[in-house]
Amino acid sequence: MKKFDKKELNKIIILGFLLIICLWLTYYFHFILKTEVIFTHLFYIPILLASLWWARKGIIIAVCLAVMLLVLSLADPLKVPIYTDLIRASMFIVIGTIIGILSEKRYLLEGKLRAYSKNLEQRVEERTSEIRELQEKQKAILDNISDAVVVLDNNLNIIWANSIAASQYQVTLGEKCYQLYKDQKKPCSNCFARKTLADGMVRSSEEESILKDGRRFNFIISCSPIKDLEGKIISVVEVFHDITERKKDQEKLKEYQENLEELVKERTNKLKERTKELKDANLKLQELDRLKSMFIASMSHELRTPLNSIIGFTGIILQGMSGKITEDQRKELTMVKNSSNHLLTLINDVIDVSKIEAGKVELFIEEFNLIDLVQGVKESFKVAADEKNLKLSLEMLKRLIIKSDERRIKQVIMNLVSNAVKFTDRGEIEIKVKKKDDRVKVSVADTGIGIKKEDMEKLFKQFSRIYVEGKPVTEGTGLGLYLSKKIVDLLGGQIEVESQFEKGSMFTFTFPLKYKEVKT
Amino acid sequence: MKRILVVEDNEINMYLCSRILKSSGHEVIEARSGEEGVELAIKDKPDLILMDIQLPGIDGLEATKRIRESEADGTIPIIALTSYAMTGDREKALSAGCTGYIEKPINPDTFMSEIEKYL
Repeated sequence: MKKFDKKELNKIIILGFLLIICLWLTYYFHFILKTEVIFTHLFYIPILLASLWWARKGIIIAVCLAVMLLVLSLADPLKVPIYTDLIRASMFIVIGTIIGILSEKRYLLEGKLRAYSKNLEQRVEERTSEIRELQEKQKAILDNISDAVVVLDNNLNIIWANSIAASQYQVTLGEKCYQLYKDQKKPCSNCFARKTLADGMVRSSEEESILKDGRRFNFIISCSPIKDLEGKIISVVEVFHDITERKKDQEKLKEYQENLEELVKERTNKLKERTKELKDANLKLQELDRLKSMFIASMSHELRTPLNSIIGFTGIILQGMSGKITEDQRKELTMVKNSSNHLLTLINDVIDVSKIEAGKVELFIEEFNLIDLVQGVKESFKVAADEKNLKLSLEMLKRLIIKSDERRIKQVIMNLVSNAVKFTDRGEIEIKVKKKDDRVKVSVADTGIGIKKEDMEKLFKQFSRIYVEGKPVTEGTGLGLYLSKKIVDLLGGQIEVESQFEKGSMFTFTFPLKYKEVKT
Repeated sequence: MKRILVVEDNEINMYLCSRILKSSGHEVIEARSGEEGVELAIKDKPDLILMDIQLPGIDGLEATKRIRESEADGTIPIIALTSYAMTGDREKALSAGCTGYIEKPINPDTFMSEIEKYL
């Protein structure tokens, strides 16, 4: 049993107070007014009622009343027989007990009921907050999707809209759904909402409309019914999915594609034109190339014809065929002869370069004695070397038959020896010919000015000249070594140089004993 | 003294050649076209022929071929006067039947020594 709480204590005080009043009234009526005892018992009725009200303590009250009645009976001056009082007292106890038991039961039942009701209240509260949370969630979701969502009643009035619908499409609650569109006064001819309200089917399609604010609006609309618990359709929900941008992009894409096609066409035409131009240009180039070759051939011929006579007749006069000449005449004519020979070399070099660059050098491969050739070269430089007081020595085998292009080999050796003579003022020039396995090695060493390190790499380049103090060291075209290298390459050989500035240089070239054609 | 046929259309060259040859004591027969060269070669039977390659009418190669065809033994040395610029002239000359070649321009210092190799 529970302890008394404050409320119960109050009830006890009220009961006690009533009890005292009843006792006093009983006493007063019984002893002062000498009323019948039975009448005085009426005063206990409120007590009994009160104990019914506060029934749990009914037994205690009943016992109290019984004791009080016995005390009153004992003190009764009228001397009512004691057994009647005992009967009354027992009656009170019985009634009190019954009341007590009944009220106890009622109290327990009430307690249960209270607990049930409290539980119920709590559950209701929980459910309510759950529902509220769910509502918030749904609202948040509906407000945050990019689609506009509206709910229409069966008269096509908008009764709910998410925030996108309100902000993007100026939806106001209460207006008709078709009022979203510009200048529209009645439902659309193919109104989905009305159809769905009628048959409960879900519908969806792609539409285009003009909105209230004049914007073009492409969208996918889907329409679904909302039913009440009995399955009756009470409203519809419409979802507007905006595809305006996508539509625009598609249109743009289409436009681009069309443009692209046009562009491709245009470019193709241009390309065709260009190809034709190039073809024409190519033909022109071929023609030019042909003209160039013709020019070189004819130029060399035309230049050489007068040169023939200059060289020839200078030679004739120098040889004294036309009579005796003076020393001065000899000296001057020798200058003419040397210049003419130099001019001839220049012309030949230019022709060779143009041939090499056009890939038109034809080799004439035959067997010949290299020693004879080198001997011949040495002989032809004898005069020049003697003039500069240079020693020209030759170290070689007695006979060396090789298979190569005699004239080209001679051209290279001539070039190297001529350079050596040109760049050497004192000392000697040494030509060596050696055979090593299936290769021939020819070297030309001099004690001339040598080559600076920085000049080495441009040595074999076209038109490269060696400059000292800003002036070319000697006359020439700068084609000699370039040609020599190209020729040696063609013959399957290599050319190398070792040099020490102001000490001298040594050019060495090696080539196969027997030329083997390399098809390119 | 030998008889040398010079086939050359250029007057200056012709003069130069004959001058050098004559001063060495040889007799010079002059021909100024391929056809004339063939005719004189067959008729005069020279000891040596100097044949320019570029000639009006039939060229030196054709003339050489014809001379070789007319000969029974093919012993007359025919020296081609070749031009440096013309690729393959020497090869063509040798395969047409020339004995040797001298590259133009003629150098009087070496000309006679080269000719004498073939005489």
